[in-house]
Amino acid sequence: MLTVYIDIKSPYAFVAKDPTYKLADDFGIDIDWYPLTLNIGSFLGTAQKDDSGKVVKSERSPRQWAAAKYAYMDARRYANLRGLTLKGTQKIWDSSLAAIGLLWAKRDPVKLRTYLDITYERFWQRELDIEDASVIETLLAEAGFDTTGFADYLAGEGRVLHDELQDQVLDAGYFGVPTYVVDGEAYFGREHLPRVRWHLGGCEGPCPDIANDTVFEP
Amino acid sequence: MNLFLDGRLLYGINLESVSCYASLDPTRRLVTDTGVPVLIVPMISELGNVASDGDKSNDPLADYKARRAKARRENNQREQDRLCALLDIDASLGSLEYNAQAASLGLVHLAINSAPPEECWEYVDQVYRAAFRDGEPIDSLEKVQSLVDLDVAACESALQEISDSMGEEGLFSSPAYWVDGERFHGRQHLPLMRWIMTGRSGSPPV
Repeated sequence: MLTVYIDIKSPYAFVAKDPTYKLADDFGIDIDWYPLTLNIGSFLGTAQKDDSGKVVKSERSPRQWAAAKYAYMDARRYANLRGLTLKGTQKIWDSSLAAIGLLWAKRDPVKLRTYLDITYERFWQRELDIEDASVIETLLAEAGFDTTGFADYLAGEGRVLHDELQDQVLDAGYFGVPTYVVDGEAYFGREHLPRVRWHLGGCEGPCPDIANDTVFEP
Repeated sequence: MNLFLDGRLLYGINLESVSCYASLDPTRRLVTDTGVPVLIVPMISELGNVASDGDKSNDPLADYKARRAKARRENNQREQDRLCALLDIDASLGSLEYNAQAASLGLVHLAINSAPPEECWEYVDQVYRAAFRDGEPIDSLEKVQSLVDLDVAACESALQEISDSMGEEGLFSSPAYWVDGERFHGRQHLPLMRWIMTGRSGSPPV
């Protein structure tokens, strides 16, 4: 069983999505997806930009700015190589509603992929307000889910489950996305996919090194 | 000294870092396989953990940050253990802490005197082996000068210039690479660098 923790607002998790699918498809396994809702402001500070890209508000140190700029540049170059659009976000989003949508989507792994695909694609094209509950419900419906009761779930059981989960994952030692867990062994970052592959394959031979090495042949 | 030349790989390493030690052989293989020349320079200043920045007084997230920091430390330890296994080195030596300022000057000497690549690779390997395999780090000018005959003042000046140049170019985490106008932090990017250095043909690795 492969458990993967993601966050819609993470550019790295966005870039990791398709290589993660490929890994699961290669092994013929389903992924147990969970949301790990990052508090980006807690480690990268907060900032807000206007439509022209000008910073209008910042609580970031120069070091945090350097780290954030590199992270987006790095994720964007890999996204571009995949033909994906990754526009920088204009603020730090609250992705908990989209995360609760992921919890709802766990009931159907095929439709869950569709939900992730359309949510990620549109969010990173700046076409999605993931803080709007009706938007999340529309995404789920478009992915093929019956959304009867979703609004109540979002405000009630789903919220409780999400918030409790965030405490549990942090105490389990998971703090970033994507995080892959196989047999209780945690790997943080898609650069560990060679190791995840090795682990799923039975740990034969020496454990490989980290590498962003997934190739999608045309 | 111009660090950023078209057609050449810039490889910045922290001689105190076992993670950089793990990048040594794969990077050397990349250079050998592609025939692209390389300039190896030491990195003495890195960004570090930026999560500790910011006003800590009356921080409502203090508890969350402490828990996250603990999770991060545990992850770092897991990674450290994996690195030691990958390098087949003793865990106690893999976490050896020493001051590589002097050893860095030796690498600067080789860089500014355009030493042959083999000499640079051998020097770096020797420094890492001394620390992480033998437990006898090259941590003094005396030890470095038994390996290379360096002008300390000139190398100190050059080391600062290198550090400033890399910082201006946005290279702040080791191992750092610069090739074809692209900057990379970490050996996980070696597959993409190989794709770049062999002409960007075929599907790129992601």
